[in-house]
Amino acid sequence: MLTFLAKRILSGLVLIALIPSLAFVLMRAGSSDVARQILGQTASEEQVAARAAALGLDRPLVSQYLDWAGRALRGDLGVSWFTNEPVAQAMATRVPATLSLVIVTTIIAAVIAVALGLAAAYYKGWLDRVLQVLSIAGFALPGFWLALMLVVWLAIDNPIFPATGYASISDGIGAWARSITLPVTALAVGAVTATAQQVRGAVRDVLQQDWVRTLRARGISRGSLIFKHVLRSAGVAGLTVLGLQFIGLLGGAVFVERLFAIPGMGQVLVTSTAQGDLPLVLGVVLVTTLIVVIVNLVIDLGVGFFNPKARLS
Amino acid sequence: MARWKTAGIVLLAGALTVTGCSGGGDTGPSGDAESVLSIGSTTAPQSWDPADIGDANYKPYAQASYDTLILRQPDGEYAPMLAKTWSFSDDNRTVTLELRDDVTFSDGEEFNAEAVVANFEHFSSGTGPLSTQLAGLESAEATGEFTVTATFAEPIPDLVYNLSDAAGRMASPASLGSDSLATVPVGSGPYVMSEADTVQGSVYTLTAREDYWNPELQEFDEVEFRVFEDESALLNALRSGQIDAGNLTNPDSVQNATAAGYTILKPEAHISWFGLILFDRDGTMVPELADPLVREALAWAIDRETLASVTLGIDDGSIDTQMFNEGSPAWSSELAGTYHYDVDKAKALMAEAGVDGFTLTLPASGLFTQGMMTGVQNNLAEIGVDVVWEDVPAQAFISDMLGGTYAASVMVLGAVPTDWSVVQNYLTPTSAWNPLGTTNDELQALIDAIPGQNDTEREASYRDINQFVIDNNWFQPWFWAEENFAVNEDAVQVELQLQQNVPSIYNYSPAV
Repeated sequence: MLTFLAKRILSGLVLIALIPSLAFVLMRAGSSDVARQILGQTASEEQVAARAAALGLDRPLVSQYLDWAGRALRGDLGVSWFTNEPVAQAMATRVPATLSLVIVTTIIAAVIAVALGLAAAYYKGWLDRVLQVLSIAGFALPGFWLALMLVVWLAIDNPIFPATGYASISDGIGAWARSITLPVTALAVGAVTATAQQVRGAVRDVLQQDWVRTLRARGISRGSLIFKHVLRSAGVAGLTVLGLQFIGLLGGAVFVERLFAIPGMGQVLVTSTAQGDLPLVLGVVLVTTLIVVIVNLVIDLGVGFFNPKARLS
Repeated sequence: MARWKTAGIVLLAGALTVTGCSGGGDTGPSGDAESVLSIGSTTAPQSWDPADIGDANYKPYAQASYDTLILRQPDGEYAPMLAKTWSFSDDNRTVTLELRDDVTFSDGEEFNAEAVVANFEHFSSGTGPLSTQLAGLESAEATGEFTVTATFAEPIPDLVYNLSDAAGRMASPASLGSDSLATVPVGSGPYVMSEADTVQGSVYTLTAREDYWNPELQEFDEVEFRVFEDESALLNALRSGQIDAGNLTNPDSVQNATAAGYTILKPEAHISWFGLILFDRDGTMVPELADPLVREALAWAIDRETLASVTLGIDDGSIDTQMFNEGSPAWSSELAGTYHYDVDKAKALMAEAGVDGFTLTLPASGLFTQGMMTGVQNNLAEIGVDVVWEDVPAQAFISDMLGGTYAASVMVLGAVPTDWSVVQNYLTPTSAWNPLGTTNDELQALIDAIPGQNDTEREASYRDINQFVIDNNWFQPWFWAEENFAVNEDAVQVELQLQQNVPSIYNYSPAV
């Protein structure tokens, strides 16, 4: 198990070093006149050149990269070129917002999807058919449209939830819950339908296994069969899908962050990439990579728990 | 069905109330209702350092925190603020300011002549977007505890405006040069940032200063700026009562806000124009453009009305051919319709110039609608000009244009705040929007004369410059872009500011 863990951590460290480096190359390769963008349309060439020099853009790319990497290793992610906010501070406010959306959506998706998938696979018949129809509807329903409708129904016509904004947990659990209810609902529909389908398929496969028939023949209770044996066996597929959903939601949350004006990582990544705000982009990419590595590690450990054979692979 | 919906909503609301989630009212410590102004914006300040704060949408942010030396009123008239009086030397190179003696900064520092000197030096030595507002500052000297004299290498024609704008914003001298000034303002203004309630780039909360010297400019207990990347989110926030006002640019948003009963304010004088810029007036890239007849032909070939109403949904009839805004001395109603859609005349001019046709490559930006691009292409094709739209990444669009990559471009350009700024930004050989450095003796003589002229003479010079640009077609404005400021008048009253796309912070007051 320790070797398994060590391998995963090592590959994670490689990713953490590699992805931001790749982001640096891509950003600088496609970068335009950042100093001009900062100073605006009417700044003179002298002003633009002075600002470019102040940002270190007149130095060789390798030197710029080594400078950033060296400071990042010491925990200094620099300062946003466009907002002058320290990147670490920007992450401290934006990571909790995005993680709130993603974690709560994933938990809701997990609970509802497992319940639906399990019920559909076990009871089959009309329940299964209803789930199939709902899944198609869930996939077909555009998330941004649902988000807009939720705002109109539950924030404007019936002002129960805030139309925009994010309240941190420190503002009170109630305010926090209200601020994420609509965006999480908009995100959860797609996540639930995708995950429920996977759980249903995995549970159906397990239920057809010989050992399940044997357990049934030995008179094991339904609850014990499902929750102790079937679910554990099908859990590998469900957990893997949930992990992918979590990682996908880190990027997929962008549209709800924009529509609900939530200061999250997705929103800041889109804006900073469009602007060419290199320190902020690298900061978001670094933190996102870190989160992805940790989530993958947790999933691997979970899969290892459900399926001991996976630890050897 | 309706009963079930209502019951569900009531239950949900009840549950949230029980868990302490209700919105609650805004009440102050004394129990009195707090007056909170919440402004929606699609731009967040890049910096709170007075030397680095931008123009246009950034003004209200800056005004909440920083007083200026001179106050510019909604109608454009100037009034004392931190400076009680200002006067110029005979050669207009030196300005003397008599300052108020009862002002402090939010960090407790005293405002005095030394503070102004420190701010002038900090501003003029910086690389901020408006640093040229104090261009050529030779010296700034405290000639008394509350008297300052500043001397410039050349007179600055719009120095009074500048001192009511970025160059006049005063920060505490103790804060100048510190890194924290970029994110936390330290001014003498009516409001001070509440760091605990501010999320940079998202929500900026400023509370009223208790000891502010001019309570008349401090109408609210709290001012909140909420930033929206997406304009539909801004509109939703307005409709749900989260914000009181905000700038709208999308015609659909304007229509929705109007339908929902919100007031849409439109400035009397437009802010920016939409049209064609001909950078290559010497014909270095497209030789045909060196001929004034060809440039004029382009002006007659464009169907401005159709472009505005059909392709962009602008129908307020603001067709114009001038690059100076309607509220300025240079602008003239007689010149507004100099060119109109006349293909025959355009063809005749092309024939007179001996030009059959040519290819004109224009940068295409995501800012442009396909309808507009097709319209321009079809209009110019009628006189034999083959327009090739070249896709340019959004990031590179401005820098490519200003780097001299293109002979011409369609663009939306600002015509504010002053005629002198329009001249400086667009018409001198070193202007950012004259990337090929085109110059003309007649035009340059008009520009060079302005600093030494009095107001009457300057107005005449600006009108002559306007006429020159129209005659020579360096810039071809087609129509003014619409500006729409949505307001919930049940919550606040607001007056627009001349030559600004958003109102000054002083122009808001609570609804009666």
